[in-house]
Amino acid sequence: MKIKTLYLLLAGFALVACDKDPVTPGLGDVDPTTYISIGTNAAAGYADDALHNDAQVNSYANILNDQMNINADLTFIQPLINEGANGINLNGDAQLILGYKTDCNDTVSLSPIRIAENGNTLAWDDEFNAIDNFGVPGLKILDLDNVGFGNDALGAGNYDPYFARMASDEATSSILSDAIARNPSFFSVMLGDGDIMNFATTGGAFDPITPSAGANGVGFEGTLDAALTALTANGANGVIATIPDVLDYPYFNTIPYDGLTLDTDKVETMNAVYNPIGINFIEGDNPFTMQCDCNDPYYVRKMEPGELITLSIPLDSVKCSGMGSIYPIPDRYVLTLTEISEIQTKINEYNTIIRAQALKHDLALADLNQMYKGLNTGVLYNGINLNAEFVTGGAYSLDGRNLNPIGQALVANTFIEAINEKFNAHIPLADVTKYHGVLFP
Amino acid sequence: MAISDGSATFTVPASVEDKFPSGSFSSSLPLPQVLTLGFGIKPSENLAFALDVNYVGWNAYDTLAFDYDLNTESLEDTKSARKYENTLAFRFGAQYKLTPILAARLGMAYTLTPVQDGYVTPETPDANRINYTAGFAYDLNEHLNFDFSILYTQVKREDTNLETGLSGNFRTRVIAPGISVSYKL
Repeated sequence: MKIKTLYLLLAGFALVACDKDPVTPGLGDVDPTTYISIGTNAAAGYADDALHNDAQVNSYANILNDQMNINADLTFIQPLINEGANGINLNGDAQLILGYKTDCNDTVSLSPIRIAENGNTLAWDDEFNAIDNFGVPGLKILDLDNVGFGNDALGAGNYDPYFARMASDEATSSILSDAIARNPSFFSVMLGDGDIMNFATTGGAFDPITPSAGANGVGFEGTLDAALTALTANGANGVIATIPDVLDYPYFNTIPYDGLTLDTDKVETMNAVYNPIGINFIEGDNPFTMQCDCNDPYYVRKMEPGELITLSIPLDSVKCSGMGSIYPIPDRYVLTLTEISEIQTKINEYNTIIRAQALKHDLALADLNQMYKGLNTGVLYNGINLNAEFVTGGAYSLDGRNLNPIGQALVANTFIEAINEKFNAHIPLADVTKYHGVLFP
Repeated sequence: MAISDGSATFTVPASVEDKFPSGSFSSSLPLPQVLTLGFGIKPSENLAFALDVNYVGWNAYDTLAFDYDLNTESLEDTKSARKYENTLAFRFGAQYKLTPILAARLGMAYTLTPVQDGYVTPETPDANRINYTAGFAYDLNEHLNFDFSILYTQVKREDTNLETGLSGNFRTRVIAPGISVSYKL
């Protein structure tokens, strides 16, 4: 006997749900009604070597406010550059985008290029009042309570154009006085990287680093202490962040010290020039040549392992005009071992002070130093790999030293984790995958 | 179960299109061997019980691999570890003949998941599960019989995938109705 069976599985259905955080969101001891952000580039939303709208909207401060907005009642006012307008930096440049560039060898490749020939200088005329985000690109701590820091009547070079857009009264405001005037109910502080970066990005050639010790207006410690005392005077809770090891930025790690590749002919030429002053080259990879206070009267030597070349070096000069080979790389593009050690010492001292101040003022401590270190080895977030490689790593913007929105979301989450732990809150973490990395054309 | 000429389409910005060429791919999913031991007893003419124990050879599913016919430096074949384990499933059921042509059925099953911690994925979120089943059989005549069934199960699992770092709380609810029609010649 044959049996024929027809089996129909009727549209069986499965409902699958996946969510990260089943805990009910809550603010604990955080009152974000008037959340005020004080900080430098990352707080301001400075990326791609300019202040621009997309980076501002994705500043960690704005992301943090969005996440704290559990009751949908918060506003957070940032001194935004108009949407769709180009960005601007202190050199008058617009932001970088990834585009096609022809180098001195007529090779066309993807490279960071300016979105426009000139930055949006009209943005300098903006006037904001009663803002919540006091992030000022490049801010050094000694300028935090600098009255008239945004006063353009003082003339170019004597005031800060970013703060001029934000100051409630250009002549009498300091960043701190304007922030206190907002009567913050909660605040975030990230300071210190601005005191180091200008020294580091100019190869240690200009702009000494603010001393660690010293009273208010003299050293990092006293000035930070005074600012935190003022911010917490009305009982506000807050969070402070340690600063990253800035030397881990792709800005300092993209061009290797020994990137001078020489073939037989070139070795001969180089040795003809350099052997008489005691410097020898071999076929293959060699250290670049750099300016130094040594080897009198030639002032040139080979770079040492561990020394860093900044991304600001004119690459066409290296490729086609003999910079780093026939003539040495100027000192302002190189961090020597001494300079590197000075920077590292200062970062460690600042972070020790920041940790102690967090304890003293009973603040949450967001360990951004650790978070950025994670990028060196690579961070895996929901299938997305982020690391500190220039452009391809995704986390850093096209200037190699400021984060992309996706990196800012990681920063915001580091703040949130610290806030949740300290203030008994359940602020939901931002979904990092919703923020973009490097945009390819 | 093999797929030999699937189409792989990549939507990427123009500047990296040549690194992600659309083309075909091949892949395969193994089906596990199942060893079953079953018992049945009939305490009375109208009542029957059955117990099944399955040993399922899920360790055949070690890797989910996609072999793209066009590879580039950026587009390599993907191999994701699944590392399924062999598992057991226990099924218990009862049938009661209400009338000579109508029988009611109830059942329960406990199946152990083959998915180890660290290997849960959204494509097949799985956990140990209890299945509830019910159904009835209807013999229209000596040639034609109908079976109706329904299965319900709920799955909950929290995991962080080792390969992707995707961390989540997976909840699945399955409602699977079925009809079978048999015709005896």
